[in-house]
Amino acid sequence: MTGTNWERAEMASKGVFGSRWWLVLVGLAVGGVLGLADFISSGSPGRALIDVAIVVGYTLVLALLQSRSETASVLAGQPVDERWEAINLHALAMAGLVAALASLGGVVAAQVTGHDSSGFAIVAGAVGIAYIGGVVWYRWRL
Amino acid sequence: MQNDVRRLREQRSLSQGDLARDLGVSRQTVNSIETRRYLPSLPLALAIGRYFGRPIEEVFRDDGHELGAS
Repeated sequence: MTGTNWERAEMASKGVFGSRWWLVLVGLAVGGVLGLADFISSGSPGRALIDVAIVVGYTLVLALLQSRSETASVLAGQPVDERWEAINLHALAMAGLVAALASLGGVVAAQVTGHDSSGFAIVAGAVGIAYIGGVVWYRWRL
Repeated sequence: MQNDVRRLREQRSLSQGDLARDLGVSRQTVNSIETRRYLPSLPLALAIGRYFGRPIEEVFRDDGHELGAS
C-alpha cells in the first residue's frame, strides 16, 4: 500500500468526521430544525415528524450505502479519492450556478407578478456574496 | 496529455482494481486516467510514476502544447 498524499490527508480527516453516523447526526439536527419550524408554523406534530423522517431517512440511506457506492460516498460528503473530490467540486459549482439563476429568476418573476421578491433577493444576494467572498479568500489561499 | 498508465499496468499483468488498491484510489479513477478523461493531481501522478519505477515525464507526456501558448 503506497498511499498518496491525498489519501493520507483524507485518512487523517476521517479521524474527526470519519464515522458514517456523523452524517445521520447532522441529518437529525437539520431535520429537527426543519420539523420545529414546521411545527411552529402549522402546529402539526405529524408534519414535523415527516420532515425529520425525510431528512434522517436520506442521510441514513447515504450512510448505509457509502461503503458500497462511491457516488453515495460523495453525496455523504466523503469522496473516496481526488477524482471524486473534483466531481464533488464541479457538482457544487453547477448547483451554485443553478441557485444563482433560480433566485434571480425568482426575483424577476416575483416583481413582474407583483409579489414580494425579498426572499429570492436574499438568496440571490447570499449566493453572490459567497461567490465574491470565495474568489477573494481562495485568491490568497491557492 | 498522453499517458502510458494502461500499457505499464498491462505489462505487469495488473487489473485496474489492483492498481487502484495500491494507489489508494477507486478503480473508476484509474480507468478515467487511462482513458484521459481525468488528469491526476501532481501528487497522484508522482505516486503513479514511483509505482512503476519511471520518471513522471515518461508516464505522462504533453501533446506538444507550450506554457503560455494560446
